[in-house]
Amino acid sequence: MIKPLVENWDEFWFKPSSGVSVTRTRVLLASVATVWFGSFLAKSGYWFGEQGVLNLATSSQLLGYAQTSRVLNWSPLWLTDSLLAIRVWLVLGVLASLAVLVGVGGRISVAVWLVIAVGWAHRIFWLSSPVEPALVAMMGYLLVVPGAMILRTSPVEESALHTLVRRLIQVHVWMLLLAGLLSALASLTWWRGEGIWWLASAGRSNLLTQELLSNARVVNFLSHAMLVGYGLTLWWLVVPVTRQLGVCVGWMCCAGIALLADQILYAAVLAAGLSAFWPVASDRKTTASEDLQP
Amino acid sequence: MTKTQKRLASAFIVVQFAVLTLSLSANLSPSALQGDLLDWVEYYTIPTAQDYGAVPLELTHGESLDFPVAFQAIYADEPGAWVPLRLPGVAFGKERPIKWTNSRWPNLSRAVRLLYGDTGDPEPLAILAAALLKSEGEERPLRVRAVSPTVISFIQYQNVKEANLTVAEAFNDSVIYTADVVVLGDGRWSLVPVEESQRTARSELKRQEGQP
Repeated sequence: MIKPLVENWDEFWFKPSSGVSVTRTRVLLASVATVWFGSFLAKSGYWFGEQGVLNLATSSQLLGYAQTSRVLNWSPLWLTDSLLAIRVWLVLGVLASLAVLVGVGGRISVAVWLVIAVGWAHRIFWLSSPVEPALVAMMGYLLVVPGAMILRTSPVEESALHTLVRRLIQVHVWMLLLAGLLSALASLTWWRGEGIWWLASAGRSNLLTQELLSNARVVNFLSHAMLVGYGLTLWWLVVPVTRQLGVCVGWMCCAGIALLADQILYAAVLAAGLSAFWPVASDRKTTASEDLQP
Repeated sequence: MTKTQKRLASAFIVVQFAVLTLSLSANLSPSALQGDLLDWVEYYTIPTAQDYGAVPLELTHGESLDFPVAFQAIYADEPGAWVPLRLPGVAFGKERPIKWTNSRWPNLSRAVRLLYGDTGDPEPLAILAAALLKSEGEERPLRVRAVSPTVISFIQYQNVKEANLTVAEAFNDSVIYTADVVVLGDGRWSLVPVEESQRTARSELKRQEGQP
């Protein structure tokens, strides 16, 4: 019984595949990271520096109050209150993201990118949203193998590491979607079909306002559709024949998260991660060869 | 990959996704056991920035927590008028609800309200109020307060619309923290909380539970 289990496990995680999918997902994640770093630049003067709302003193006080260790939340940015240092760090983050996007420097670039991102995520602790842990984890997976440079014409050799990275990202995204669905279902708000209204009511919907949602049926439809979309995505992603459909519905859910809520960057991270599910040529070859087996 | 490499990678996979499952499952409200387990794995999750804490994976639960707190102040040149303190990306006009989508303020507000809700101690609100006042520049107000917006259900909202009222006319926002700004001299100042009885956060929570 153990042997087939191990064989299936190895087949799932380590069967050699091309690096096309990893490269595609890396480019998308690096694009999101570029925007993520860049999005802090414009308002950095308000949040950080000596006069910033989250200057060192305030951030440290709040961390201390929350009994959260600054050692575990390591960041070189805890050593200075300089606004210039913050801005330089962000610019370095943008540059590292662009380097990873292009594929320059391989694992070294990814490691630098990851260190800058984690250092930043810890310094902004109080401004964190679901984006940071999701993005950083996927950056970490790319350390295993970051894929090929973009616009590379020669084919990349098939490798078990490509499959490993792809599966890590796939499983992580699937679990995030599942957690999102289960968390939503933990509240009557979504069962009653009012989730979308609450987002607009709190002034936290990018697209909708309270006035636009005066019709109860529209509110119910949009709220229920979000959850049905989550459910269909989770189901269709695990069935090989419906996987592409699952990715498409998942992207629609991401559009919902971005437009109906105020989580554009989180939606973008999920959408980038979902791209790892999109089949590549080696998948189709495998499926075809399996179909031919007696 | 060699067999040993595969087994090592497998061990990493199992640990990583076990920790992720724990972190996500404890996202809403960790049990005592989950809390203990999270304490054990925090030496991995926090340094690698993979701690999901209480980030809103559900987008909303329609709680007052999801409604960002605003801070207001009274200045000497306009006594009696509460002026909103400046927040990044937020325009305080007549529009209700206030649009928070261009700002990261809701994330900070949520985190601070979670701390406040856990203990009932207004200290985190005081820290934030002081930071906001410092970022305002040299002018010191006489008094500052934190205001939690009205949280009403969809049905209540429809009733308000039928009565041709606005939400602001029908319901008062709740003041959850008020403090006097006391100037100590040498450019230093301090926040002294005004009567505890003015804090109405608890009554607001009760009202939310009773909603249809």
